[in-house]
Amino acid sequence: MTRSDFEHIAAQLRPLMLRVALDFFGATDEAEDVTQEAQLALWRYCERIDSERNVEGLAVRVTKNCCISWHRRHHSLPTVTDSSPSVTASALSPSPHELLEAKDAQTLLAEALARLEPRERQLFEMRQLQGLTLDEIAAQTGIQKSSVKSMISTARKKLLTELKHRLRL
Amino acid sequence: MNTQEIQSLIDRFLAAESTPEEERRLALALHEAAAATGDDLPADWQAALLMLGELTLGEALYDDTLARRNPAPLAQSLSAQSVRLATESQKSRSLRLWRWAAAVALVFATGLGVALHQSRTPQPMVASVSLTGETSESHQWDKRVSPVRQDSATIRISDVDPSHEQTRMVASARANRRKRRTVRPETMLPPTEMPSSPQEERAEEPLLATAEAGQQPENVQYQSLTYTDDPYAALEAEMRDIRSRGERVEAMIAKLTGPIE
Repeated sequence: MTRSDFEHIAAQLRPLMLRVALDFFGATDEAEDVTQEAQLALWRYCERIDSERNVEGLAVRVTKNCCISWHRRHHSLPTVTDSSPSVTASALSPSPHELLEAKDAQTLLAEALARLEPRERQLFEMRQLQGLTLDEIAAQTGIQKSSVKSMISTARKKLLTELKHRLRL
Repeated sequence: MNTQEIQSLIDRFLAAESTPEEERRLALALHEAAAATGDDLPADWQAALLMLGELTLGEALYDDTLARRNPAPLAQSLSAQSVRLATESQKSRSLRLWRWAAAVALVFATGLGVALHQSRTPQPMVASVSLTGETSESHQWDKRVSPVRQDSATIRISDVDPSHEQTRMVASARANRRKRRTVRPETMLPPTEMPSSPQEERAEEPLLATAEAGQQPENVQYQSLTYTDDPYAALEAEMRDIRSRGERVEAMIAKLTGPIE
């Protein structure tokens, strides 16, 4: 999908993305800002999207991530009413050290992905980044579902081995 | 989520058998484990967390945050669902009871209807008086009185109180219209006098209304009049008849509902 294509559907995606943000923040101002940020992130990423058919699912995922990122930046504590141990301040508010580690992790993943076969990499990204199901990937690529499953499994196992090796270094 | 569950989900993830929902749960569990253990997280788990990616983790955190922020809707939903199921079960029981009650009521209503229908059969006629002629101030009627039972008294039309005569004529005319529909031999008219169409029957209505208003109807043909000498005796006879028919109905019901031999 080109950026021009995305600009055509951006207006259609906006209400959906705003709804996701409003569910999280409740306030219109923050939701508007997060929606704008999510649309910008999608615009940057859109050239890696294979089809317009599942762009809504990706838009929802990106908006949810932007909500969490916005919350981490602007709130020191989560807004949950209970102090459950599973969701602590550190879970939502990463330290600079954690941010650096995350950046390193992304670099590690990008390097490991580069070592996959092009087809394996494409299917892995369709599953992990775009959030498509096996059926949707099979429909979009014309590959049998069992083959898609096998190739994604192979890609994940290769990535696991590569990442474990790099993490030990 | 304990260690075994996490490892099981990682195995499913590597085999590409996990669902998106399971992957979000796995990402959240690995993230919490990493936050709890620091650098001591196994390499497999760290690699799995990297492969799941930021998008999956962010989505899982979003869903988890919303779920913890608003636990009430889920609880209310479950509560409403349980209440709805209980209500539906109660409604089902009530419906079954109502069906049984309706069936029993239908049986009784049918029996009662049969009994009433049989009790409304015409009582024994004492005398049949046929009048044909035009009304006039001199009350000249073509009278024909025919006794139908030997022990019954024959009533002459002249014995009838003139003040009640008109009302009785009207009543008799109404009764005759009903009898014509049920076809009784005693009151059947010759074919030429029978109303041939519903229009003719409707034509009688203004005449009856005129008679009820106290005026003298003109060109009215009265087919028969029925009188009894003692209304109490007739009522007793009717009651005996009803009782005997009721006993027959009860016997019939007992026969029908009795044990099958």
